[in-house]
Amino acid sequence: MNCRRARSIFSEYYDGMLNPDLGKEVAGHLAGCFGCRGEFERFEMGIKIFKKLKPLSRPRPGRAKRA
Amino acid sequence: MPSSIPEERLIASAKGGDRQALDELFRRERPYLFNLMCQLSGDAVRADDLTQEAVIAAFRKLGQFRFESSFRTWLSRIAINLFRMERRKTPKHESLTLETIWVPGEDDHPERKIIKSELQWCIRHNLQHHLPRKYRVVLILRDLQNLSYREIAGILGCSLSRVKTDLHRGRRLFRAQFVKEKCRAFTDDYLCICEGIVDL
Ligand SMILES: [Zn+2]
Repeated sequence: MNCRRARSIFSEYYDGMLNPDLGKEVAGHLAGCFGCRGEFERFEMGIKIFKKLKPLSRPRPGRAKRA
Repeated sequence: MPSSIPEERLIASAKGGDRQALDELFRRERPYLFNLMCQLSGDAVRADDLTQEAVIAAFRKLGQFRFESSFRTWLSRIAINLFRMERRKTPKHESLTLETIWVPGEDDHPERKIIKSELQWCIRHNLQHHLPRKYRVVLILRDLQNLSYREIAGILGCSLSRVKTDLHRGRRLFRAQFVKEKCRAFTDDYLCICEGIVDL
């Protein structure tokens, strides 16, 4: 597996959606490729940050609405 | 009406004109729906309107519900379609002011406004202003609502490969906004937290 191929399926790899053989191939590539490992860490971090989004409060009567 | 009544029975009763069953059904789903609409629209007032519209639309279409998906999936599809068709555009950058974002308090602290330099502001801002709608929807359904690829495809009425592609691109795009600090370029007084993002 080359870098381009590995990076194109990060999303599915992260979700565990790849078939087991392909998943192992990606894992193997990450173990041996410093560049892709860093890239995957940043990819993962983006998702972790996104997941930190908190819910909004329900609007209450009396609170100013958007103009 | 006891909350132990299974959903299927409620739906069957509601379809038969039982008003109480209908109320109970929507009472259960309303918080979920409101939260989803908040995530999509980024605005609690708009989300409240959209939730209301979705409930009305679902009420009208209830006769068409065939138990082919969960009630929640069916309801989500209606609400997301309303959101997609919504005429009102996403508010401009400038209109995303401090006063419009409220988050519930944690522990016993009251709810509070969030300030621009906070991560919450940054995520919200990126989501609403730097992510095309189609990516935003998929990202929210997957990473915030934790739905499966199949469920998302069902809600959006698209193929599984469409979900995979959009999710991959959306996630990359979202991250790129943080990493490249693009967000900061849009607002002069914005102290971007992205600089410290790698420590998270
Ligand atoms: Zn590589």
